[in-house]
Amino acid sequence: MGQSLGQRLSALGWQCGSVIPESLYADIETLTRTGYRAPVRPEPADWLVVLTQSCDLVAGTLDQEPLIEILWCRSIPQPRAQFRDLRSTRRLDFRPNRQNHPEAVLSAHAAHDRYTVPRSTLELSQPRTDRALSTISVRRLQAWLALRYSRPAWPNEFVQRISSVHDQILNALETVARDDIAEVRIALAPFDMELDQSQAYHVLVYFVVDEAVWNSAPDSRQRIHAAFGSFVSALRRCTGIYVDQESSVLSGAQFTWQQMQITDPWNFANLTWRE
Amino acid sequence: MSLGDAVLWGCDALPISTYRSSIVMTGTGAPDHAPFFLKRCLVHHWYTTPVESGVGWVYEVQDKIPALCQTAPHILLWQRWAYEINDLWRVVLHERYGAGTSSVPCTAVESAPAAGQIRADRLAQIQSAFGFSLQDLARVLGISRAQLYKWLDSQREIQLHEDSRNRLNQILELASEWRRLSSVTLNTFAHEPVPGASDIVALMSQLELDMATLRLALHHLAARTTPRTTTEQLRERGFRRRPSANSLPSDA
Repeated sequence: MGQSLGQRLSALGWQCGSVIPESLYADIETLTRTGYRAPVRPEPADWLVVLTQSCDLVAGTLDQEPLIEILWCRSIPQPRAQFRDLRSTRRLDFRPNRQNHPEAVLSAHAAHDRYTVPRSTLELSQPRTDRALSTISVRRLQAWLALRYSRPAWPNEFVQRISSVHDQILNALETVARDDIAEVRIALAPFDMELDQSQAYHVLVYFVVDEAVWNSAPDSRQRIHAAFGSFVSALRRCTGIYVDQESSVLSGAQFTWQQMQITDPWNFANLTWRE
Repeated sequence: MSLGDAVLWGCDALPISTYRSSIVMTGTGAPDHAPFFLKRCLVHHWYTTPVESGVGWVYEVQDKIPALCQTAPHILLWQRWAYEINDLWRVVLHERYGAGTSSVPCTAVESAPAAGQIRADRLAQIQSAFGFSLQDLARVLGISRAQLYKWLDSQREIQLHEDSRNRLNQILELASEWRRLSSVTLNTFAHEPVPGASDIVALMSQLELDMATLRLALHHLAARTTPRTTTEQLRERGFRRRPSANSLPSDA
């Protein structure tokens, strides 16, 4: 009994983060010529990356997973501050493999640069052996794509009201995002209405601290408390924003499932209106 | 207004870049004692605790003061002294921000922590030790929660009353004491009885703080064994938190 398609692709070395070789470019171009947008024509420095999860990539039969998703990542000189580290859900500037390609920097657009092609296309060749995304880059790409669909959609009016403190909020968030020691969660009331100028958005802010940090790392706690003060103060300076008095810094052991239900994580991608 | 009053006032109301004028306006005093008096102000009123992360540079300035006294014994005027202090700030800022350059960029001087930032840093330092709710923190500081929100705002210029400043310093002192005694937050023991009160928050909320009793209470609580949390027990069995996207190194 012969190998399944999935087994053959696995044997060729295909996995999430593999890079498509130039020998397949002509086929890919043909397959992506849809008429309503430009087909894939990568430059030599560009990377054509397989985005599909490895387990789906090696699924046994074609009808289980007929298509794979690829991302056309274009080479750029430097990552731009507003597009790196998941700050924008629309565009990502990233380093594909710091260890093996320290100079390489790529940029991809979530809408324009994603394509699907038949999975069988990959059977025609091995992935590039001189280029592959690092594990970190694969995780970053996956988190970026997930964020596009999972981030909370806030009322435009709320976003507008806090736009004057954009930089202070970014600074405060960067302090706690570093080292993954805390998560900023907020609840908004109302979360689904555009209010007029006479009404205020009610905001509840929690900085939830990893329990290990809470119990044993006073210096990190100090950093988090300072960031909380900056973050809440910045919000309080905005017209039409009321910060709830229950806002606080909490240990993860104290933060309840109920509080999680009424809050959303706040991250850089929530602030992408300035693109 | 004495020199000390001016420095204290400047600490709470003025950014670093205007310290010089606040000192100049103090008028005459006892110039011979100025360096020591000013050093005392720096140490005891700006930061009453040992060097913590992010505030060490204040000590770098005060460490240089004795050397200044030896090299510039001719200082006879407050104004001259004020210029010398300003130069010291610049030297320290230069060492921190502008190694290899001959002058400190104005932006570095302007970005030196303003009084509001110092106040916010102190509150963060207190909370790193105590981990109180904002309601309890306001109680122990003897202010309203609305007032506490104003204190937390580093961009707000507030002139603290002497009573408030003293209270803040006392609480900061207790926070430092607790950090020396334990790495867990004091809030872990917030509901434990302590000698002299039902719990530590009640003891710290009294109108007049009895520092000796409070220190005793802190030592009493520090001697307690921190119970292992469920998460800690699970971690010992191999369960780990899955790293979030935030843990990815920056692509800067």
